[in-house]
Amino acid sequence: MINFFEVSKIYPNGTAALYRINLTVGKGEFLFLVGPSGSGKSTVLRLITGEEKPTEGKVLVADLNVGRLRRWEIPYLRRRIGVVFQDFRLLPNLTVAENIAFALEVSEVKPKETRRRVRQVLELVGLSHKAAIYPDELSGGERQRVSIARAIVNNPLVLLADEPTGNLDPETSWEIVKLLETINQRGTTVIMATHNETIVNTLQKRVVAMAQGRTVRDERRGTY
Amino acid sequence: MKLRTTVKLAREGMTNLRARSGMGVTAMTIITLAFIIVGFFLQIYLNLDNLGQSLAQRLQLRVFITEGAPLLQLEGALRRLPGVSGLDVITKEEALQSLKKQLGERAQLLELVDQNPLPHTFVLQVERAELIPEVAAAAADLDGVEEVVYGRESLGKLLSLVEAISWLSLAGSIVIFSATLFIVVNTIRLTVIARKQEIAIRRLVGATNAFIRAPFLFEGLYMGLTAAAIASLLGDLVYRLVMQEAPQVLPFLPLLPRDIVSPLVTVALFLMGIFLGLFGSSISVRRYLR
Repeated sequence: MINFFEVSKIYPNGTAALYRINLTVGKGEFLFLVGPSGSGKSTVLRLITGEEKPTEGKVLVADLNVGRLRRWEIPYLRRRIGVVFQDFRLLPNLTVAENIAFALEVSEVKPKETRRRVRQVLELVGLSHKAAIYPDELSGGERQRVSIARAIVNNPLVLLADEPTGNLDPETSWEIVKLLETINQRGTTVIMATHNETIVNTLQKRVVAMAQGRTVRDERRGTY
Repeated sequence: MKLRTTVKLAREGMTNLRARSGMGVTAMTIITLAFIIVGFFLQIYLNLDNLGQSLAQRLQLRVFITEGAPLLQLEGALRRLPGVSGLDVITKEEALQSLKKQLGERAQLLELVDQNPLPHTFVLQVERAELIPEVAAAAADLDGVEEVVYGRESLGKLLSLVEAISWLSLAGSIVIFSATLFIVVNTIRLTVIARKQEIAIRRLVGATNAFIRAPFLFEGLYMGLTAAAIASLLGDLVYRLVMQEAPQVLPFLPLLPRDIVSPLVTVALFLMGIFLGLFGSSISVRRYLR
């Protein structure tokens, strides 16, 4: 599903964000990406979405060579990838349902189909009753649920979550991770970059640890 | 892009425009004023161009030929002079006929002369007024040319003035055009900045550049079209008034009729509006498309 071959990312000023990374993530896997700030976790995610191009090496996502994609092809890659951030990135002037539908609009899904899919994901994240509410009336955990709903409404191959629990209290964090696990069990590959030791240690999933732009550990049922 | 999506993005452009109310109204006012000025310049330009053309038709040199000179050779030589754009021939007989006509009843006077005293004449058209003296001098130097006469020099001067003013109004239009482009770019840039977050999320969820750009293009288009519409209507109104009053104030000024000027100005303003709107807004979003 996702393959990194000897991937280096070196910025024009000489800083190496990633150095000769090799990583394979199979279909349906759940993977924690751990490591201190600046170790390269976010760069790995940005290389998958095509926001950045590798300086060296090759990044394959669903057999597409991301570094070689033309500019007009990248949007089509992104429709197959869901992304969730620490800061939710919801639009304040749109309701919950509209925020989710926003992701389908760009791929020109029919209105009827959009309504059906929005209803479906809202049910999955448990927010059906808040469809018509605006984000600022929601709690942090609820907002993150909306952003996850938006990320998966396109039925992506892979869901990338960059510190999704960074702004949430422990209890809410658990709910979010449980939700990600549910989504994973439905067949979506999930990659979650996190600092949260408790979650990583409790969940016993595959853990890839990074430090200074390198992968330093890759364990099947790992801990932080 | 599907029609449904296009309509939706077009509506979004309208929302954007409305959301800019304060700055938007100011910018729209300035842009509309600029269009009105350009419209007037175009009216002036068209009329001066017309005036210039009718004056230019009077730019003629008459070259009188000495009796017995080789006519064909001279005609060739005159046609080859730089600046000559046309040549007509008035033969001795034709000249006599027209003189007879002019004299009317007194034509019998001519019977007193036993032979035709009038010279063979070539009438030269000159490309530009300022070339007249040169062409005249060159023609006069040819063997077999008796005399060269041409219209008053003041005509040439008037013509140069007309040309200068029409060039100025065109140049003025270009300056205003650039200034307007600048305003459009900056107004839409404000919308773009206000919607940066939306643009970022759209990119994230896989919007194509065309999709992201569309609402801003529509916004620019609305601005351009509105300004063009107002300026066209106002321009037409003013021209109508001018046409009503002009015959009394300036009876000899040959003005172009309204049904020629107004459509031309309207088309020009709308083309300008479309171009400014689309080009200006695409400059504004370009930075956010990568």
